[in-house]
Amino acid sequence: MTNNKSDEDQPFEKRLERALTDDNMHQALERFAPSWRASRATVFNAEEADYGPDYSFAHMSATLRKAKDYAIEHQAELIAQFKAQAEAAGAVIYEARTAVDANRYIYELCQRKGIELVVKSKTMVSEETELNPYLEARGIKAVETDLGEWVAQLAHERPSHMVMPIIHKTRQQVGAVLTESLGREISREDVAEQVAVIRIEHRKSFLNAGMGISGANALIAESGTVMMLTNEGNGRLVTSLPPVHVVMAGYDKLISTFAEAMTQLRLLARSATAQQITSYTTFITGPATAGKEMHIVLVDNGRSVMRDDPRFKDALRCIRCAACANICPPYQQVGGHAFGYIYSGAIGLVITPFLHGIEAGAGPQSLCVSCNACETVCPVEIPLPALILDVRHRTMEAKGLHWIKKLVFGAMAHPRLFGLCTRLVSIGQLPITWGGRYIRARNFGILGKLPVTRSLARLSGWRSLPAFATKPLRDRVKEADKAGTSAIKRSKSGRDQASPYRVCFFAGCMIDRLYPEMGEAAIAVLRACGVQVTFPRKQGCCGLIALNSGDRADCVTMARQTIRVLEQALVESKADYIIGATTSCVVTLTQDYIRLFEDLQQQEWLRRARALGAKVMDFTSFMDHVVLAGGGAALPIRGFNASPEMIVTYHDSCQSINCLGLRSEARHIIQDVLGLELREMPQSDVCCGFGGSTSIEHGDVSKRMMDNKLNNAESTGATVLVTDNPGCLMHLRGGVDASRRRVRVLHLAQLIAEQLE
Amino acid sequence: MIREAGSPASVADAPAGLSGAELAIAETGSVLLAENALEARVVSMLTLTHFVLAREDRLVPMLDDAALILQQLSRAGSDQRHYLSFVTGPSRTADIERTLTIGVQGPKTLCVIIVGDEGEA
Repeated sequence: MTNNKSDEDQPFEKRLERALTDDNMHQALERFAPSWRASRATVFNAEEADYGPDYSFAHMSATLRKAKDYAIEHQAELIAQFKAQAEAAGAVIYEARTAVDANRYIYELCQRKGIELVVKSKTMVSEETELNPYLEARGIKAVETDLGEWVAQLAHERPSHMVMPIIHKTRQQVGAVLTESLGREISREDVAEQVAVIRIEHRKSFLNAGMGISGANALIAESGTVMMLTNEGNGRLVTSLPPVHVVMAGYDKLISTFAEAMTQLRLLARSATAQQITSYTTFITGPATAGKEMHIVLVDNGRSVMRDDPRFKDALRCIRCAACANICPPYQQVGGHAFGYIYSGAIGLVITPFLHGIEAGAGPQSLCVSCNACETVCPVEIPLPALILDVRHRTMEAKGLHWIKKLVFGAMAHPRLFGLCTRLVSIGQLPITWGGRYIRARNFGILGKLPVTRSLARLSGWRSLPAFATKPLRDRVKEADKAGTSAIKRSKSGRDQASPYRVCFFAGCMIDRLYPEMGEAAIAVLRACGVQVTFPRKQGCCGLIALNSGDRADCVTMARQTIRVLEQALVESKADYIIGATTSCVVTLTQDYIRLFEDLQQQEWLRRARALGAKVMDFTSFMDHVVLAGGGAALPIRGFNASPEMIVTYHDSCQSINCLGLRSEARHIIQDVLGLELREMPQSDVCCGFGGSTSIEHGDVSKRMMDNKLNNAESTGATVLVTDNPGCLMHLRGGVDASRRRVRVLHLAQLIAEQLE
Repeated sequence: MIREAGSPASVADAPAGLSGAELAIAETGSVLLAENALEARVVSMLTLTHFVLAREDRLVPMLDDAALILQQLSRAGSDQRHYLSFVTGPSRTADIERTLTIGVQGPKTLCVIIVGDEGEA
């Protein structure tokens, strides 16, 4: 507990390994996440219910975003205003370009004043600049007075969370740290006693310290005021009692007015701790009392580089609420020390490379599962998932792409080569699959010992991998269309003659090559409703996998190919829509391409991507909002609740719920159209752990998330687990197969197809 | 025994303290403390029970209303207030296992007394 000072300086892999064995932390974080989500929702909903839509999360977030954007755009002007006002009130402003500049200023101030003891309230910027070790190395004692920060300091650790510094510690561990540090027995069980210790221990420090150092939650330009939120009451003591008060704050803390500060206060308290307001919210303008000194150290340390970046300047809106960590599924598995550097959670992955260099962020960013949950709770609308992908891209450029990925993406960018490869693999896999649907660790036999196949055997141990289909969807569709019947059934009623809709089906690699039956089901369902479906033969990979690995070059190739092929298909088939039954690919086609071509400033491709994106829709939305909506086609099913023995539970795929905003659609179809029994699983909208290559690179993390999902699904007593994204389906099916669970895992399209007449 | 607040050391852990609020905010149940003098301020920081008197006619509905007052009080000038605090309930922490514990550095109890017009007379 006190021996891991060096732990934080360990390479990422070591930190991760350590985190994965810390069961206390893992359990604490897993308990915390759902309760935080529930209380956060309650406290935001209450504000809206009491005061109307202007006080909704969405409205307040948009307001604060605008205010922060204004401050970022007009930084020079607001700094001038802030400085003028604060200096008029008696404060001294120092602008620090680097972390060392900031630390040195504070040290020299201590020297000048003969100060040997400093009390601190929470300031993340001082963690960022590593002020404490800087001062300690020069003989100045800095005491953290926030309870959690103090315990972390005594344990020689960094805080593992921006708001709750010792969320990774149990009460027993806290008791042990206090006992060892203070040299007297402190309860390992009684939290109240542990909390009482800090009041006694710190009282003398407050009264004797020559300097108090605080952070700032906002710098209000109109009056030169520092806003600070605390709950324990230490912040007001730190800023009031010692004769010198130093504020450390990043330039990103600037906002224009008190009115905006109120919006920030509402959002910050609710997002951070699900409080309506913190116990103490303090506004300090100049030295608090006559004869006192106030110094404000404005820290740049990489922020101006972010500000100059058209994408990353968005990250300067951050108010350090940690909501993006609280909701992050991999964070719940490994905690802040492994996941972040000093700023953890999604925002940590985004800003760490700017503050501490690209190398510092290289390992942690690989933990992101691209679930996009962070973006849904960010109170200043930072496009965190997209920025993480940008970081990944830059990391890849700096470090190069792994040779396997290079090989795979290179092949995927050439549709015919890729097609050939998958066909070859579908034959080459036979010694392992024995013609079955899975690559199972238990089927490897002696092959599991060979160097070439050993890693595959290890990968498929906890999650059986899907075998490549011997006949991809494209072939099956072609044959069925030629035969006019068979595998892909046409509607018996022949309603397709009267169809109001024509669509092109975009399969995506997984459905085409691994799960053609899912594509067949989707096409069968569409046709049963009278929709005319064509399958553009030239379609290939949309590029999502390359993009998620930071490989923009191959993604661009695949994006252009896909746009070209689908544009042509729309013209030839006179289709109204392009329908995909893979929500991940749909998000790439409708959102990622646009951002990609915006970044590359390829205006013509951007225009084409936008035009195409407007025509693309996911299967679930198309069925619910278009085909079955308001007096549209009826689904020719065997009967309402024709399978009364079937109990369905629904997993919200991340791309479906977080990117496309789907929630009611599938549930409506399952319950109200098919008449099946649906039982909600706990945390249905939390990532299943697939996360593309994350499940290969960080199998331990991925498996834990998968186990949670399958346990939650089983807890409902469901016989069928349904979702609408093949990535999740692959992951969950493989997990069910490897652990020999009994629940069936189906694509929504398959569930519907089973119920057709 | 009632006495005027003095140095922080003399106020520390006094069983009770009394001070006046500039404003009270209905939305959050907060009081706004606006004393420039350290002696008056430490009453709200170091005593065990803090009583606050707030005038009914200084009760505003929302934080947004309070923002206007903050703006006025922080404005440069001879009557500028340097240290304004919304105080909402007692001092608290949930740092250890997210167990809510009341009374860390600040008061363990906060008692707000709203004084109506008749009380003024």
